[in-house]
Amino acid sequence: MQDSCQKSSMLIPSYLDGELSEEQAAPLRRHLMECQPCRDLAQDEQAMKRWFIAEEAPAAPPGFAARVARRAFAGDAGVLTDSEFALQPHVAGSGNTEQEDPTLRFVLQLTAIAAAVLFCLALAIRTHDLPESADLGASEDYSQVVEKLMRMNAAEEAAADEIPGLPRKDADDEPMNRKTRK
Amino acid sequence: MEPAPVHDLDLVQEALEGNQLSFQLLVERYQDKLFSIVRQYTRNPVEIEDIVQEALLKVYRRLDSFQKQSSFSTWLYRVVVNTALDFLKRCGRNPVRAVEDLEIVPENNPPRIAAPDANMEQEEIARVTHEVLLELPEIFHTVIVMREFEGLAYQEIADILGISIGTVESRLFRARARFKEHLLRSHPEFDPTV
Ligand SMILES: [Zn+2]
Repeated sequence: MQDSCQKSSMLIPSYLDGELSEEQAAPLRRHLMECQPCRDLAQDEQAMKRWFIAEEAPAAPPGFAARVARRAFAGDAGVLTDSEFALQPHVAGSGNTEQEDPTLRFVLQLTAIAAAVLFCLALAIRTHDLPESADLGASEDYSQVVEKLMRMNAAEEAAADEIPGLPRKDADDEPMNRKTRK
Repeated sequence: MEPAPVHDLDLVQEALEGNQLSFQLLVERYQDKLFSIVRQYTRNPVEIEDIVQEALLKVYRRLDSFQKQSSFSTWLYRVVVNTALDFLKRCGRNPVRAVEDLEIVPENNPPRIAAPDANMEQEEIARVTHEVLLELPEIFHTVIVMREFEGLAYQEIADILGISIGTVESRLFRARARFKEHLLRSHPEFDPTV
């Protein structure tokens, strides 16, 4: 692949997203005019976008906002366990954490796990989503479910409550070298 | 005459001072957007509503910790996406993938993919896409949702995710490559090269 092709192949997605400055877009357009392989590439990218069709969004049901506001002001904390509060391995900076009774911690963890299991089960039942409730109930015994959730919790503790995949050290996340943005 | 629209931050402040109606107005302002985002994580309407509601209750509980240097909507989207991902994880769907998985990247030559057949129903296309997205690691799933379905600019995505524009760009690049790969795996008929 030629150098200029290599460069334009990196720019094409951003170009199609409308994210290039005119300064960056103009030379790319010139290249596309004279380079069939890069034009094909751009066409491929466009073809892929046709898989992302905007379906009609489901509307919030009538009275939703009033209901949520009422629950919020009534002190309803919701049913999902909150990873930030429930699943922290240590409470940062609080002095007595280290002496914390390990049994207590275990019980707390179990409680969190039980809440998560209950929530999933409740949803599965509510929505008559039979295959999923079968997943949780019939095909695995309780200890397997607990073990699975323990693993998930461990993974989550690593991720804290940040948006997933954020400042973790994935080799994946090296920003591309682009000198200038608009 | 239309009254001037009330700024989000004013509504936040009023809600903090105990005005339930102000919080309700904030919810009304964003609820459709939130339903639409969560829709990309589950297509079950009951689950969508539960997740949006959970996220909003969480937002209310933490309203006083909201850092006003970011916009309210940016913060709100972040909480909603996190809540949706939390939900998927807790129910054993879309588990966190191993890091190795993220590193196997078709860096230079992402596979090619054909557009959906002209005779495919919109609904069918959406279903296939949704299934493929659920197979992707969440960081890839999320950038595709934000860019392709919500039409957010790179800068907005960067703000919501707290990452740089360069990272948004590279993540999108990898996410799309991964999307094509998975789509071809489950639907080899869309390989344009055969
Ligand atoms: Zn070229």
